[in-house]
Amino acid sequence: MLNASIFRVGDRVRVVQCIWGFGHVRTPKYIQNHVGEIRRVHGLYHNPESVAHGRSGLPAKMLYSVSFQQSSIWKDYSGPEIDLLYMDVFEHWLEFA
Amino acid sequence: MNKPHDVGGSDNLEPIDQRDHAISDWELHIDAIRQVLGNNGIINTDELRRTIESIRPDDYRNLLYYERWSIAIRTLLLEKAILSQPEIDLAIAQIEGMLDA
Repeated sequence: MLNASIFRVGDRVRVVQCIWGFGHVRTPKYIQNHVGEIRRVHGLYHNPESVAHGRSGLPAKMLYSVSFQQSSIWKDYSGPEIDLLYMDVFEHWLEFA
Repeated sequence: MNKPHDVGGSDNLEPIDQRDHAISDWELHIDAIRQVLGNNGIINTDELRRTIESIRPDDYRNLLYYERWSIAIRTLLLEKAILSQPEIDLAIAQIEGMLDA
């Protein structure tokens, strides 16, 4: 199916690490290399990392809401284990975990 | 790759001063220029982010918020050949001349 999402709700995904050093980097460093869970498939959106260079942002990229355990992200996190952080992440930043 | 703005989770940073502060006229001007350029489709938010994130980290840390915006806007207007560096230099010299008159 055209424009189908690679990931589905419930999939475990890892955020890839940014190894390039230029342009607009959409996904913050503190979430890179962390494993989360797909919570929602938002749909297709213009790629901001292309728009940032005055380009069209096409092909559009699938955007997901991904949840991460707060205690897995922050060292010395003192809140409950069930606390989650939700972040919108584009598909090209994700791989199956 | 380290980007100056991407500091979430970094250690040894000063706490953020969250007190309100007055906004200067020049800051309002920068904001207005950004809005005019955006509303006319000349620059977009992601371009502004890209050029702000490209400021050298040492400079970035020492610049005010709207100083970063103004540098980013200048970078974009030069990239898009809407302004040239000689034009900017001339305008600065004219303003300095007015201030010194």
